[in-house]
Amino acid sequence: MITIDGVSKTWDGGRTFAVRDVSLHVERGQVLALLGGSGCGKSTTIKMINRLIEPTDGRILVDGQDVTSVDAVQLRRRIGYVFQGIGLFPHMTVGENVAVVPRLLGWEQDRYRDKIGRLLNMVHLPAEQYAARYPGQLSGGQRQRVGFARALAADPKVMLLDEPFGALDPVTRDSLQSEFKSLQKTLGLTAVIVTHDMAEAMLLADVIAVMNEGRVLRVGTPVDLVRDPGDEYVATLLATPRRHGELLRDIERQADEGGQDHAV
Amino acid sequence: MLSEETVANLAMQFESLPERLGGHIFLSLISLVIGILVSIPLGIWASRHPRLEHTALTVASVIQTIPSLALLAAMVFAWGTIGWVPALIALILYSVLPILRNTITGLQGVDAACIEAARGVGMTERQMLWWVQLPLAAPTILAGVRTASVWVVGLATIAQPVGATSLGNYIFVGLQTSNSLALLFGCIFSALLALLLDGLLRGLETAARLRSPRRAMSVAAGLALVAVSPVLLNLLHRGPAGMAVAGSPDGDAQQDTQPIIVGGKAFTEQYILSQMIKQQLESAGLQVKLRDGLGSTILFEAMTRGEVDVYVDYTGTVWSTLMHRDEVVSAPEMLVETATYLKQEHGIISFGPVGFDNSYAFAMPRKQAEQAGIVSLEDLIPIASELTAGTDVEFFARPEWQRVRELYGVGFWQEGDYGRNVDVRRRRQRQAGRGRRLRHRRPHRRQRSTGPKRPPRRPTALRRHPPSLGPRRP
Repeated sequence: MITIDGVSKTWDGGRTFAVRDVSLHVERGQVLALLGGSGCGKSTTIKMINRLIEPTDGRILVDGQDVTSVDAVQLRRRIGYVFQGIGLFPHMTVGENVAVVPRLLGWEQDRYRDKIGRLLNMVHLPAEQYAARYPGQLSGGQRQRVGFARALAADPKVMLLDEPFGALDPVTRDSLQSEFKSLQKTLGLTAVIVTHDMAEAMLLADVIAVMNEGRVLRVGTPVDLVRDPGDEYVATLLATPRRHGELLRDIERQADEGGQDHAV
Repeated sequence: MLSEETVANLAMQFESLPERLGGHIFLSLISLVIGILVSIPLGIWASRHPRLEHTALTVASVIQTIPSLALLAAMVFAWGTIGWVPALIALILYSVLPILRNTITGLQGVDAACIEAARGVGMTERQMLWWVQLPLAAPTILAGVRTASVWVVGLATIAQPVGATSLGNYIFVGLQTSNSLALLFGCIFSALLALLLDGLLRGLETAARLRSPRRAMSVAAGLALVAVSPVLLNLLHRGPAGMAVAGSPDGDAQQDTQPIIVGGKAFTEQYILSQMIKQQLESAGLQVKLRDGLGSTILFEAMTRGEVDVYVDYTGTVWSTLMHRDEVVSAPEMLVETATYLKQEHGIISFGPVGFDNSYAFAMPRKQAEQAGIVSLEDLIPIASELTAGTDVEFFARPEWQRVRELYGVGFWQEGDYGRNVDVRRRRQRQAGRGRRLRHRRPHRRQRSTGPKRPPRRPTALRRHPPSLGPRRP
């Protein structure tokens, strides 16, 4: 569904590369996670898919079509896009925000009004209660839900998510992650998600691509990665959730044994 | 109780309100609308091109630093006409800066996340501008428009010296003729107009924020009401028969003849002289339009272009400022020479002396002069450095004064130019410690002042010649 083929991006004529010779493939209905620290080129890579950034070299195919062969504006309307800043339009109501892409595509009002109601219900923001509110009246999690609804409004087959849960508190993040996962399964979406959180990548993605300094170090399923990190950097990234998991398991075991050891 | 005089004065001021308020509203609203139409697109363009932004803002700021009267006068020479055109253009130039600056600030202040989202959902540049950037920048832009509206209403008051009618006529005439009621009239009405416009624009801002079409409609209705208020005032004042708006011909009978335009400069005797000419011509059955309170050079320029048909000028002024002559000749000689010059160089005919002399003279209070034993200009030289001299605005720049300085070497402790009607006596009381003061233009004391031979300023009525060539010739 999405093919990234030998793509590079340089901002200074080739002295340094933000992204260097990246090749990736995402099957229809699959989720690819681009994982790495800040400045590793993951955001640049995802933005090249909907041409917010133009690649210096290589080509990108979406649904078999070279993205440079279609109008960038038309391309973006077909691809759902969610990012950390959310970027809801503060002067538009929740309903209007969600309706932006259908309106840009010139849909009849009748066609998108029901759709928006259904989408808002789907992200657990009942339309009758929330459609007329302004983004400023919502919590961070609710805003990100509206962001999802907006990205889904025009029935995209492909979704791009650039650290969508980055600004949320852990509880909200967790529930939104599961909601996204079930939405993605139900709608059969093909998605690319950018994250710096290994646990998030493992929870959401079918395939994980670990990036560092503009290059892809390792591509594989979560199981592949755990079984064989294949790279020191990948191993480091895996260490954190593993340690968290072990710590939690230890504490649980102690709790089961009565928790006497730690009593003071 | 108001005195009869005050009531008559009040009635007179009200009489000219529709025309002056109308002129003021016309100038302010039109310049504001054009200012908006120029500045917002320019601001949008500039906000996308950093280099252009810098240039545009610099130019607008430089225009803002030009003193407003100078800008008005420059517009007269740039556009070669007097009246509302140069005034309007000057006001438009002044309105540009606040709107331009706020448009740029407003657009650049739009949250980067919103811009990224707009691009990400597939908006074109144009859609981004109309759907996202302009609505979000609107409050800032409107704030700029409000600033501009206050400036423009304020500045429209000084448009009178270039021949545009506004509430400023009250202020200029009031100052020149010591009519504080007229002065007050001008100030109060222009302040009210500024407040009203600002209030309406604030209403528009609220309407935009709440996105309430009903509010916007009522604001629009309010603005429309302001725009037509002079006509309503006129109706109230004269009844339906007096529908004619400022400056338009009063009836069909006069439509085939253009009015004779009588000009006047901006000082007391000129207000009186232009009125006298007007009344004389009217009593002869002619239709007359008055354009008084004009700057001296502006008035002459207007006559050479046929925008003014008749006014009174001074041989000394023509001699020195137009002919650039500085030699001393007798009054009759000067009259002949200036008349010849005007006719040959500008096609203007001089009607001859109007019957009185207007000369500069040095004057000081009799008591002080007697105490100090001053009877001639020579007597003045030793003590002049302790004295303050007050003159009209142009005297110290005139060749007559340069000549006096050269010949007598006289220089005063302080040389200040005051408006012709500033009450010099009050200043004298405040400065009683210095005791002596020279006053200018006290004809009944002329025998006390002895000066060098200087070109007398002899009023001459001027008429464009040959009249058939004048564009405004009836």
